[in-house]
This record gives sequence, structure tokens and C-alpha cells, in this order.
Amino acid sequence: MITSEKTKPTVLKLTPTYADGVVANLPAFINLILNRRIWKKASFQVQEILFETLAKLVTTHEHAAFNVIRFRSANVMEKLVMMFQQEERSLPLSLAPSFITIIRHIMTDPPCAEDLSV
Amino acid sequence: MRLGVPDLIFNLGGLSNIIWFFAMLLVSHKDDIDALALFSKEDRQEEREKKKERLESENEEGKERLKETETATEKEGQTTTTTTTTTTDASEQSETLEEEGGDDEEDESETRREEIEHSQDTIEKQRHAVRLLNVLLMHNSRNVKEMLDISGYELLSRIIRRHNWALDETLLALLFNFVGLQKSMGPSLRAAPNEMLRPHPQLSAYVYEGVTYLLSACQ
Repeated sequence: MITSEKTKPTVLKLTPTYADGVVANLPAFINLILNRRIWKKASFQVQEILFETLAKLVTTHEHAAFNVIRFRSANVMEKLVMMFQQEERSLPLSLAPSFITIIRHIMTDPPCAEDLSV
Repeated sequence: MRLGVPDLIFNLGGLSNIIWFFAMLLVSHKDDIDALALFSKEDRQEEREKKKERLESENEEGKERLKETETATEKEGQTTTTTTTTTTDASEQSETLEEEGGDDEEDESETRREEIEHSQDTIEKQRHAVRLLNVLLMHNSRNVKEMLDISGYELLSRIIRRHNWALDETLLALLFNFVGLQKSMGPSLRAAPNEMLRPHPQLSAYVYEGVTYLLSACQ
């Protein structure tokens, strides 16, 4: 007898992100979105949405170049590295790909002295 | 000169008053949020089961005492009337215990329900207040200037943190609106398996490897 194995259809994971627009308000971005003291108490799911949005803004976004400039002026790199240092044991591993994506796109090619000194 | 609605709102007292209003909002204490999390059906069921067990154990203790008294009376050769009275007393006691237990349960559930309604109401008020602030900032550039002058975003972040606001997706969306970003549905950059949702002790090493790889690729 031939057993018919049902192949599972590949489901495209749709996650809500907030990547429609550009980082227009820098003080709000620094104080409300990049403020780790607020969001470290949030659930993993909310944190995931937050970092995935940030990653999307600098990768697949229409105005990714502009957003990268805004990220650099908001010292996102420094904030992320400090986050690794302070919350090494409490951060979920699922956030790591988003972190690396953000860092990869913020860093200049070749990396400037400022990036390496962080 | 006739003023528009945003100008009117601006002239009512400015953003400083609104930020002050934020701080005066009925704060959602951590206990309320914990109560919200605890007050699920499962928890209520567990609590009921625990209470039942406690009552049953108490009743068993009463029955054991009854048996002891019965044996004692048989030995003494007394009439069974005394035992019947003791049994009736014990049964009455158990009934009163059950009634008291039931009343306590109802009171607790009522108080919890009130707490939950209160905290939900508070969360709604917070959301509406944030929306109002966002509308004010969108409609008048003077509000934006005032917000920056009084370092309003910093104040808002401090209020959110100190007053233990519920950090859900709605608040995240509202705060992204301040930055100028709207919700958009799209495929995720990567699909994380469930095992990755737990904290990982070697995260920094993992990230370090990624960054060193990037640096080597840049060189």
C-alpha cells in the first residue's frame, strides 16, 4: 500500500510591524522607542515586533538610507551594544537576528573609527 | 480672529497641562496588572479546587473527631443520643464552614472583578490620553515646539515607566505613531522557532560572532 503523506503547506508568517513611514521625530524615537528601560518589562512578542520593525526600517524599507542616517544620529549602535552588555542573560535568542541585521546596516563600509570604539 | 479647533485646544493651557494630566491619571499599579494576569479562568478554577480540598480536609478532621467521640461513648456505655447530637453539631459546623468559604470566594471574586474593571478603565484612559497628545502634536507645530521645550517625550517615557503602564501592542503602535510610523502587515524577516523564545545565556557570544564576521567581510 502506498501511504499518502500529506505535505504541510508553507505558511508565510505575517507579523504586524510599524514600518510604514520614516523616522521623522528623533526625540520621540530616542525616548519612547529606543528606551530599553520601558520595553524590557514587555512580553517577548512585543519586544520581537519592536526589533523586527527596527530591522525592517533599515533593510527592506523604501527609505532605508534615510532611516539609517536617523539611526546613526540616534546612536542605535551604542544602545544595542550596551543592551548586550547589561542584559546578556535575560535577552531572548530570537531577538539576535534582528540585532545583527540592524548593526550590519548601520555600520559603514569600511567601518569608521566611531563604530569600532563603541 | 477666529481660532481653529487645534488652536483652541492649544490655548486651553498648552501641552504642559496635558503632561501633568498624564501624571495625574489613575495609575495602573503593578498589583492591578498582576491581578489582570492572575484572573484567568484556570487560576480561578485552581483556587476553587484548593479551597475545596481545604474544606474537605477540615471535614475529615471533624469526622475523625466524631469517630473518636463515638468510640469513647461506647466504651463508657452511654446512650447513643449524645453521639447523634455530636454528629448534628459536626454537620452544622461543616455546613457553616462551607457557607463561610462560599461567601469568601464570592467576595474575593467580586473584589477582583472590580479591580480588573478599574485597571481596564485606567488602561483605556491612558490610551485615549496618548492619542489626544498625538493629535495635538499633529495639528499644531507650536505644540511640537512646546513638547521639545519641556522635554515632553522624556517626561512621557518616565511616566510610562514609573506608573507601570501596560506594555502591549497598542501602546507600541501609539508610540510608533509619535515617531511617524504606521502599522503595516508584511512577511517577517525571519521566522523564529519556539525554542528561540527563551533567554539564551550565550547570546552575546552569538552576536559577537556575527559582528566579527561582518567586520572581516568589510575588510
